[in-house]
Order: sequence, then C-alpha cells, then structure tokens
Amino acid sequence: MLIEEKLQSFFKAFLMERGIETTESNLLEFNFVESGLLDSFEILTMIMAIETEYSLTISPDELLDGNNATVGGLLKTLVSK
Amino acid sequence: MMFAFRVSTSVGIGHVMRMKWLALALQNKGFQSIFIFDYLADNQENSLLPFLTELNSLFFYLEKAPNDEHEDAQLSLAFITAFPSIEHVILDSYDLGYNWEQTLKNANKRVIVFDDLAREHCSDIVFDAKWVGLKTNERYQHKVPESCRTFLGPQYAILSPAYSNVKRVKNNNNLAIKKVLMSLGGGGDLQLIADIVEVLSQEMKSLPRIEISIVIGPKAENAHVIEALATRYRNIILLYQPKCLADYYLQTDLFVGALGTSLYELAATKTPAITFSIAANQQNNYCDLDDLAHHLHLPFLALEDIPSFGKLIEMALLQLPRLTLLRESATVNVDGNGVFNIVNILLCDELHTLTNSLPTNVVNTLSNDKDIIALNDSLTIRKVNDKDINHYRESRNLPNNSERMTIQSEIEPLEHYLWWFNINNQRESYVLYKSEQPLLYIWHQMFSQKSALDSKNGNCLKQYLYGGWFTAQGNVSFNIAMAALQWQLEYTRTLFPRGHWLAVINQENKFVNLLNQYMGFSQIPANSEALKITQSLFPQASTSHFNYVELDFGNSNE
Repeated sequence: MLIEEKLQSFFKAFLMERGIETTESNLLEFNFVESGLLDSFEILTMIMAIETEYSLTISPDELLDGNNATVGGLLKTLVSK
Repeated sequence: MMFAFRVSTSVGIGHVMRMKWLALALQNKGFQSIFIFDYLADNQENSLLPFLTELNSLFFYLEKAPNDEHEDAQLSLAFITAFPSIEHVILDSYDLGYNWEQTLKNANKRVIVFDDLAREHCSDIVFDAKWVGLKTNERYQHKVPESCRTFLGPQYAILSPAYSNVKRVKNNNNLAIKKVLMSLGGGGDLQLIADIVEVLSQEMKSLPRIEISIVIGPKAENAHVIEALATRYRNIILLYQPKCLADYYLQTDLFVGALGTSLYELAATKTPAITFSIAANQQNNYCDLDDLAHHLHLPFLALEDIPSFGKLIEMALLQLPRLTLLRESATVNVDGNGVFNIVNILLCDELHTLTNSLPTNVVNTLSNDKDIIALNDSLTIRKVNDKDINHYRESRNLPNNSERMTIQSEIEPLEHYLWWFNINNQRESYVLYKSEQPLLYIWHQMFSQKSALDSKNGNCLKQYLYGGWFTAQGNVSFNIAMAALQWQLEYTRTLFPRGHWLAVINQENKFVNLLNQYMGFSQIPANSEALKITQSLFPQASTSHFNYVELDFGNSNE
C-alpha cells in the first residue's frame, strides 16, 4: 500500500474513533483545526501518532501553515517528505 | 452672547476648576459668564472664591437645596433669565442630568454638558474627555438624541493654561533630593496620606533624600493630622489649596495620590505616578491607563495594604529613570489645549464640520523593530517590557490560565507591581503576537545550584531552568502553543547549552502534558535531585495534582 493510501486510512480511522464520520469525498477537505471537532490534545495526539507510526516529522511551522490544516493539505505535505 | 455655568460643588472642586478654565478661555475671547453653584449651608460660599479670582464672572448659589433635578433647573433658570443674552447653559454635575437638561431645553436654552460617566443626556452637546481606548467614540451610543453632538476623548480635557506646551526638565543627578508630591485632590481624607508618610518614614533610611509635598485641598478631611506630621518631619512641605499644580508636577520626581483630574495633568506633564482610586469616576481600565502611559494604579488602597504601598513607593524612587522612561511611552497624548478645542466648538456655527480624531490603533511604544523576532510570516515574539506590566497581570489572571496554575488566586495590582519592580526578579518574559494581536506570554527563569552529580565534569554549578506560558486572550490553538514552546526551548538551549529544564504541569491539562512530552520532556524520577529542586521551586504544586517533568539539555546534547 502506498504511503498516501496508508495515511488516508489512518486519518479516516483516527477520526472515526472520535465519532467523526467522513466519506472518501469529504475526508480530504476536513479541516481539523477549524472544525472544532478535535481539541488541541486530540490534534497533537494525531500528529504524534503519525510521527511514530510512519517515521515522519511535522514541524511547528508546517502546522501553522493554514494549507496543512486540512487532511488533504497535511497529507500532501507528508507525502512530499 | 453670554454663558451660564451650573457647576456641582458637592464632590471636591474638580468640576469648579475645569469650568473656571473654560470660562476664562471664553472671557479671553470676549464672552462673559455667570456661575451657579449648589446651595451651601453655613455660609461656605467664600471657600470657592479664592479659586476664581481670574474671572470677571458673577457667582450665584442656589438659595435652598432643591428636591429634584427639575426644581434645581427652575432655581437655576431664575438666575439665568435675568440675563437675556444667555443662550448657552453649561452643566457640569454628577447630581444633575437628563431631567435638568430637559427643563433648560424647554426654556429654549442651548444645553452643553460635561460628563465622564457616560450617562444619558438630552443636551445639544456632550463633552467627555475620558479615554476608554478604541471604544471612546461609542460611549454615548443610544444615550443621546441624534441631534446631540458628542466630543469625546482626551483632546477635550480641560486643564489649566499652565499645562499648555509644558516641558519637563530632566533631573539626572542621582544624588539630588527626590521630590514626592502627594495629593487626594480637592477633598479626600488626609489620614490616608498621613498613614503612607508614616510607613515611608520607616523606609527613609534606605532611600535617597526625599522631600514630600502634600496638597491640602479646600475640602480635605483631617488636615490637622498632616499638619501634626509636618511638625515631626522637616522634609514635609504643606501646600494649602494651591490654585494650580502644574509647576509642582513638573518639578516632582514622583506623584502619589488619588486619580481624578490628576490623570490628565500627570499625563500632560509626564510625571511618574503611583495612584489609587477614591471615587467612582476614578475607576479606569488598565489598558486605557496604559495608553496614557499611566501604568501604576490601584483600584483602591486598603489600610492593610499601606505598608506594601510604602514599599512600592520606595522601589519607584530607587528606579526613577525606569519610571520616567515608562511615563514617556504614551500612545495617546494629552496636552493642555483641550479648553481651546472646546471654545472653538462652542463658538463655531458649523459643528457638523468638526469630527473627533481618535487613535485607531494602540502599540507598545517601548518596543522597537530590533526587539521583535519573527517566528514565521504571521508570528512574532518580543521581550516583555515595562509597558506590558498591566496586560501581563490581567492575562495571567484570566480564568483559563489561573485555574491551571500552582497559585490559582488572582494576583492583585499592588502585589504584581512589587514583584515586577523587585530588582531580584530574574524572570525573562516574552509575548507572542499573531497579526499584531498578543496571543500568549511565555517566560523562563534560570536557577543555579551546586550539583554533586555534575561536578565530575568539572562543572559544579548546574543551571536549572523553569518557566511557563499563559494565554493573553482566551484559548490558544495547539500549533501556536507548539511554536512558542519550540522557540523557547531553542532559545534557552542557545543561552544555556547545559541547562536542565524543570516544569510542573497540572494533571488536568492534558494538552500541555502531551505537548511537553512531544517536545522531549519526561517524568522526573523519584528521589532525584531534580525532583527536590522542582519541589522547592514550586512548593504549591502537589504531586497529586501536578506532573513533574524535565528536559536536560546537557543529556540530550550528548
């Protein structure tokens, strides 16, 4: 499975575990910063899980970039690493 | 054309004085006026006259105490109608308002009101010099009819002509006698001043030589207590009912007293000051006072606080250059030209051409570009300076901050000022901005301790770091907090490459616990030296409510 597919599955599962239903079409548009559905703790938990499970690092600068506030945007940044 | 002034004499002489300066400015333009004062029992009329000698006006007193505003208006009209050329009636009174104005308007008079309490009015014009930041222009929304013109802000502050174009002479001689001016305004209970002086006298041995001038206003209570004090201390000078304090303000090193009319006089003369409120109209928001560079103010001064207050005065006298610099940091300038601005409006037929020109933005004038570190395109950080003193406290006291701290009670202004100006205060604080809005304060402090463990490296002094952060407004998003903490760790790592961070985090603050874990902090082992030091640094942080964590730069470097 490609890293992109793995990450997409991860995001979908992570959100579902927290009661956030997404479809294939709206997953990438989901804004985890502005939606208010994930608090700071949950978002950081998500970041730490990505770093641990996929050996990827995300810098605070990247997290401050509004383009990385959506699943699709963050996915693109992660895949490009 | 003549003007009639209805002026309250029930609270000090502040209203009388500001209307006197306005009447004098009108007189200098060739317009005469009459004054109508409150009914005064016991033939006290003469007590005001010494303050009004420059005026050619006629002075009247109500012949009895009216039962209500309407009766007061009728009694006032009895004087006013005796002068057919009086078209403008100027009201300056906390006791009189809407109903009084309505009666005068019904008598076809043009009513001009001076207020600083943002009350409802039906007058033709309202002047209010109070500065409430960027909300100054909104104070009378829905409180006056559409036909009423409002002129708001410090540019309408009426001060004595002596405050016009003043320049402070800097006293750079550290050995010179330091001059302190104390005043409660025209009234007030001078027992309070006496208590402060008594406390100061205990501290005087450690102070530079000081000379204390004390104003005894015409309505002051317990003047005899101050007079008795002056016989005991040769460095006390009594100022009996001075007509104008401008020269005293310009020559004094520090003003201590009530915040009333003095607010704008102190601002115009840039006099370092520590003030407290003794009346409702002296209550101000700290951010508004900060704009005027009036940073040291207490909402009240309790008797039990007087020893600490004396300590604050002592600290201020020992750090006068710092206070002088702070006093010069006003965002909103006050000058002595307010009365001329008002006269221009009163004599101008085209009122609709006049608009307020208030500042639209406020900035920290003590910081400059070189102090600002850009973290990225939108985030900047700068070292906290004295101009942040009140905002820092108010932010720290926000419930979402204080409820997670080891000390959850509110930090009071006096306690905060004493801490801020304590020369042993080694806390280094920074404020993080996003698009010019302060988002959070972040601080650290270094603490050296002899370390047996580290002595093997030939480095017996271990540098411990501790710190924290709190938001400046509401909640801060996770990525902002993360950026701030990362900056702090990088910055302190540069300063203290072998530094050892210690922190306590409220166990309920799941996010900050996780954030610190993410940044490399780990739990402090039981029975370790780090644990003992952390406990001594944070004695109120019980292990049942707080997690103890550490990050040793020395170890992480190796």
